[in-house]
Amino acid sequence: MDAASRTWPPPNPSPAPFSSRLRASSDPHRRRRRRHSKKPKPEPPAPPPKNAPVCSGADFESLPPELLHRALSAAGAADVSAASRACRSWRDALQPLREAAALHAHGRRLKHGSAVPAGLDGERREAARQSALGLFKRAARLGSAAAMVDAGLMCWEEGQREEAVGYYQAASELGHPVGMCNLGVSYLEADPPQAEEAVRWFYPAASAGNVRAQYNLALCLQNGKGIKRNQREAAKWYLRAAEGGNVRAMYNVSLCYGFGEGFTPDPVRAKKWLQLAADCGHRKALYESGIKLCAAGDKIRSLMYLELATRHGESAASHMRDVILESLSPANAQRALSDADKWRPKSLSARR
Amino acid sequence: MATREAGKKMIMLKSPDGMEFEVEEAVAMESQTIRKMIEDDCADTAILIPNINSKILSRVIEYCNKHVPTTGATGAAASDTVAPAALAEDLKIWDAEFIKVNRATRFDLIQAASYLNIKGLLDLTSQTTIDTISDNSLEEIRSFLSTKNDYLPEEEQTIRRENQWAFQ
Repeated sequence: MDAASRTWPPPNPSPAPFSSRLRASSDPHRRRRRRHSKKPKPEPPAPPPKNAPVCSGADFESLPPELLHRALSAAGAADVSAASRACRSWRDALQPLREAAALHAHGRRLKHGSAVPAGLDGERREAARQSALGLFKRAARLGSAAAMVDAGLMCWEEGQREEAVGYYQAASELGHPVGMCNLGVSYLEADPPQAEEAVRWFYPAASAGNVRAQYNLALCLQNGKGIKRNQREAAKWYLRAAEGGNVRAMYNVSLCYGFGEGFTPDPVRAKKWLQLAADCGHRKALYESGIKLCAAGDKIRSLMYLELATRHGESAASHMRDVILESLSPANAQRALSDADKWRPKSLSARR
Repeated sequence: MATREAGKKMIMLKSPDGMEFEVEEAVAMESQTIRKMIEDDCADTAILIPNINSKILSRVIEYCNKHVPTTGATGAAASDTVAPAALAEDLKIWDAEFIKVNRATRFDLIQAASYLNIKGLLDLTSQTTIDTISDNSLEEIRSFLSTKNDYLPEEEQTIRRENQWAFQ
């Protein structure tokens, strides 16, 4: 990471008390000598507070600890760490968040298995999960919004929905976009669904750039769930989500362009997004790409896509695949199938 | 929105330096602190806002004014608004402009947002602080926030080592 590789800035002119005392005793001498030779010069710029106008009341150093804690509770571990290195009072104020970040990181390693040897039996895996949940909860109590989200996620998976919603709410209060998105989803999943509440949370999360929230918001807008139906708005949010790498959104963008729903019809863009969705492994996009290629006469590639669609669980594709398979020579069919074996979904680098 | 047609209820906010601001009740209620005061009927005449001078208070009111219709408490209001994505986009741009203030003002805004308990403003100021920290080097953070480096060099080394895990 950039911040880590940066060379450590040389200490400020006045960090160590003893060195400054030394300088104080030697300075007057030098200055006096100078005065003999030259006209007195203005004091050499004392420890320069760079581009900072003197404005004592507003030292961020004196920001009350609880406010600094609040400001950084939704920040990532690297930011908390960077802020802790700014000065002592910040370090002290951020102590709980640093502890939370460490607990959270350890919990994630437990949950995702990198701290646990592979091939564990179910029982021990479950034990690791439980300790991960415990760590997330402790980190959440220390104020880390990201840990609240992870704790909520695990509670949700275990069926403790109320507790999960509580965690999501707390994270959302701190402005954590994933927390807001998950809170929205849990309102949609509630019985009965509270779509209006959901949309209320999808909005800020989507504007903050959360891709899943953008997709969910678009879905609500398209179906008039919790908000007035608005095809154009829906298309816009689908596009934002697709640009952020959401595969389903890519497919829906291609539909929007294809049918002129929310966008003016644009077959070229529709095709481009369909292709991208297929390359990312979207089931229906693979199937439709196969059909389009077949219609264009490219049977070998068509077979590859239809085979892939079948493998991804699109049952409608299998019949057509078989038809094409029979019409091709064994060599060509073999080629298409081995292409399918070699195929890997395109992985898009996360934008955020 | 019945209250709008039926004449809006106004609330008087007073800053300690003697300025008075008349604002709609809905705007003032963006602040959870003021909302509680109103709900507890402590607001029959004027509400004195201690600690927040008129310059900051006027900016806070500006913020609340801008944000009251969209984050309106009534769920119905949100679904009535046209082109909400564009609106959200506008608000975001407006927010970005709003927070382009000098350090001292931002410092005061954080405190005001916290005292008045305005979630949106608190989120905005928090995010700006996080952005400042993640976009700049340590020296730049210190100089921007006018935070003095009071670490001894060896202490800096230690705390840097302690925090290495954050970059794994």
